[in-house]
Amino acid sequence: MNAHLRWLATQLDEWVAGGLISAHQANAIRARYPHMEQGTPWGLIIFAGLGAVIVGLGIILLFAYNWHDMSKAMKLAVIIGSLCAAHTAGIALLRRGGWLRGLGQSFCLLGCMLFGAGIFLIAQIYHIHERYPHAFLIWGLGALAMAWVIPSAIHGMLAAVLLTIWVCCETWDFNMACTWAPLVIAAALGLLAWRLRARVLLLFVLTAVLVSAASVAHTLDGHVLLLLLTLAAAAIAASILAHERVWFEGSAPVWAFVGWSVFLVCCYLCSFKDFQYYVLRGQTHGTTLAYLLYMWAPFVLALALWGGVAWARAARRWRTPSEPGYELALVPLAVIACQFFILCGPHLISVMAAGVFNLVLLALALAWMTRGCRQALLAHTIMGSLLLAALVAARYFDLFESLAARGLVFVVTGGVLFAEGIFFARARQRLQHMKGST
Amino acid sequence: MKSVAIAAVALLQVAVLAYMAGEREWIVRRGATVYVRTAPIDPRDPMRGDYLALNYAISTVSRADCAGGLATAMAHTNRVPRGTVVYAVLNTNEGVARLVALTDQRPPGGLFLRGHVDHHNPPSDINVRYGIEAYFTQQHTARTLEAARVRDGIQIPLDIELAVSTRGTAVMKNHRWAPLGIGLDIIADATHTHAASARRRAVALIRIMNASTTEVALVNLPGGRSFALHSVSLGDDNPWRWVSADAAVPAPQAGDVVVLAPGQVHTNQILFSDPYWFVINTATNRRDAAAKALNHDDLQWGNMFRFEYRAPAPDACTGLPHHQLIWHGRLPTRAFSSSEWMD
Repeated sequence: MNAHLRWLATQLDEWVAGGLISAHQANAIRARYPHMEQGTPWGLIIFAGLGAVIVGLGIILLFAYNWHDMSKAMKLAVIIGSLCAAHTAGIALLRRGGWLRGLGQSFCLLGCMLFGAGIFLIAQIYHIHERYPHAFLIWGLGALAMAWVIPSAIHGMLAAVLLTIWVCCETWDFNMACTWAPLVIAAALGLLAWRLRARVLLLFVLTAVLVSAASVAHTLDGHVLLLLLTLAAAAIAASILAHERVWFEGSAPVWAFVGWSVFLVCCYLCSFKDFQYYVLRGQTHGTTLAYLLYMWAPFVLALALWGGVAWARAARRWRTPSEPGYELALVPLAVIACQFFILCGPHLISVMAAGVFNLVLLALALAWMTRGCRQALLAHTIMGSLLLAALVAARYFDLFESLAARGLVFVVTGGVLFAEGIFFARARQRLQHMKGST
Repeated sequence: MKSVAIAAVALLQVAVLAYMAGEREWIVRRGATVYVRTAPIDPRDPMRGDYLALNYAISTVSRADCAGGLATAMAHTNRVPRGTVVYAVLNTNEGVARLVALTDQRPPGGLFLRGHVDHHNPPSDINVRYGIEAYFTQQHTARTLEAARVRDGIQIPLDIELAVSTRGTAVMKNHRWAPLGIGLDIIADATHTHAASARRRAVALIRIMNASTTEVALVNLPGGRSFALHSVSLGDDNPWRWVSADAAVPAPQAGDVVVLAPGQVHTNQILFSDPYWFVINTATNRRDAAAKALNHDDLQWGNMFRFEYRAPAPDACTGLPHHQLIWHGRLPTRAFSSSEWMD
């Protein structure tokens, strides 16, 4: 149940009590919005799920104390018995339906936590000190299987976290690139998010894919920043397509949040000339399948998605009257530029590469500020202003050596922001006049 | 239908745990028992609690002990990839298992451990993990065990009891302290005021302690002949080898048997100036070099060595007084370098 329906549900009772509408009319309104009465009990799922996770972690730590007085058989009986009890209770509650279903999911989540506790407990009992990331892999697969059969978003989130820990441990501690892992995470959990239309799970999946892919790329001696930049660009394109084509209702803000966050951070890092040294160096002539997969597949995917955006725009296939701004073209251009600079290698002057990303950020900031002021869009105005301020603050340290130049830049920036405030206020006023006249 | 699927996944989770526990329990009950020597340190795992991190004597393997494809790779100073499956063939004739060879081919039979190459930087030794490098204990117990390892500067080896399957999978069953501990001190001659001269007249004091609760006898051959000297590689290959490695060791006599009461310490003195303990550089371009004392300036700080007490075989001790008390096994000291630095 979204916020509007929740508001309407509370207001209906007040309106009936105040005599504004009859009870019959209130029921007729309720019948018009069936989701109002039978929404997913997210509050219960979240709090009970959080409780299950914390109880599971507590049990892991409790067994970590490793009581000598507790026999091996007793420890095994306690953990396997708890696991069976949690799952049995979960299955029984899931069959009931209603709000008990949410509680059932939480019991099954507790069962999955106990499964993880059991893996570590058995390793402790038998002093197993083999490749420890395997424990996270087995635990994550157990949670993933449960996420699909229930089906449950919260189990999917647990699986996303555990599988990401597995990939990171394999790459950081054992220098082992699990090349296909990000793709498997994306497929197994992304499909579940799509099936359940679960936006929070989608957020977990996107984060898991980005973190695990970056981890693997680092192990392959690939270009982590290029990979993240390209994947972020792909996510931004996906957000536009999701918004317009409505193939996963409500997912566009999640794609956009992840995409823009990572894209802006990557561009910001690339805008430092000293950082470009680390961006441009590294392997550029890898021929292994894994290297090609991480160097070129995201690039092709991002360009394909942006091609889709351009095609939809050219064909005027937009569902909403407001088309995406032309400044969005900077996103694929930044990706192409980054790929070009890396292919050129370290002999390229890093100032030139940094300059391009400075221009990209500056253009984005000015475009958002202009659009915000013209159409009285507060979010665009704020984002543009923050981006400009961040850019000027960064260049204060590494570009303008003269205090006079620094002062001038600050004066100009301050003037621009001041003028932006005036323009924005006038746009708001104009909009209100138009609303009043209509 | 959905409930059945959920129950199936739940049962699968139980089955995974049952398999993990069942496989190890089977090895504990049916596997061959062997003791391996180790040195413990005390870390903590956030998921499994306190444990003793164990560094086994068979975990660091020199080129000489490698066989099969490993020997070929080591001979060509090729890096053996991390994660390569290896098998440590063991000999248990002396009570505590000794490494016979490390190979990349599974032995057809006998006692062996299955492990993985942890790291190898040619030309140094190969480090192997057998999956038994952690001994989980109740919280704070690990520190107590670690503290018991050193008594009066003498290190008491910890022997881990393993159950080993026919596939080479090892499961820890228990631990015991070795009955004898060994300590090493390098002492410069204080009568010489000149630092370099004093260093040249250094002696090694090797102390052997009875760490058990009953009497234990050791065989102390004259001139320190109960001891051997081993080269230790630290990072780079150590080209210096002991000149007397192949020298014949005299048979033990009745007067060589030393009975130690519980807690009693027997001290041996080894003179670095004794040519019996000299070492020679075996590097290809230095074959004509003369034998040098252990503390000669030609030896670098990274060229490390360790003494090892080697008890005579049980057959050689038959007829000696207190022969039933004589401990049979090997007891290495800490490694030391020419600059008197110890590991």
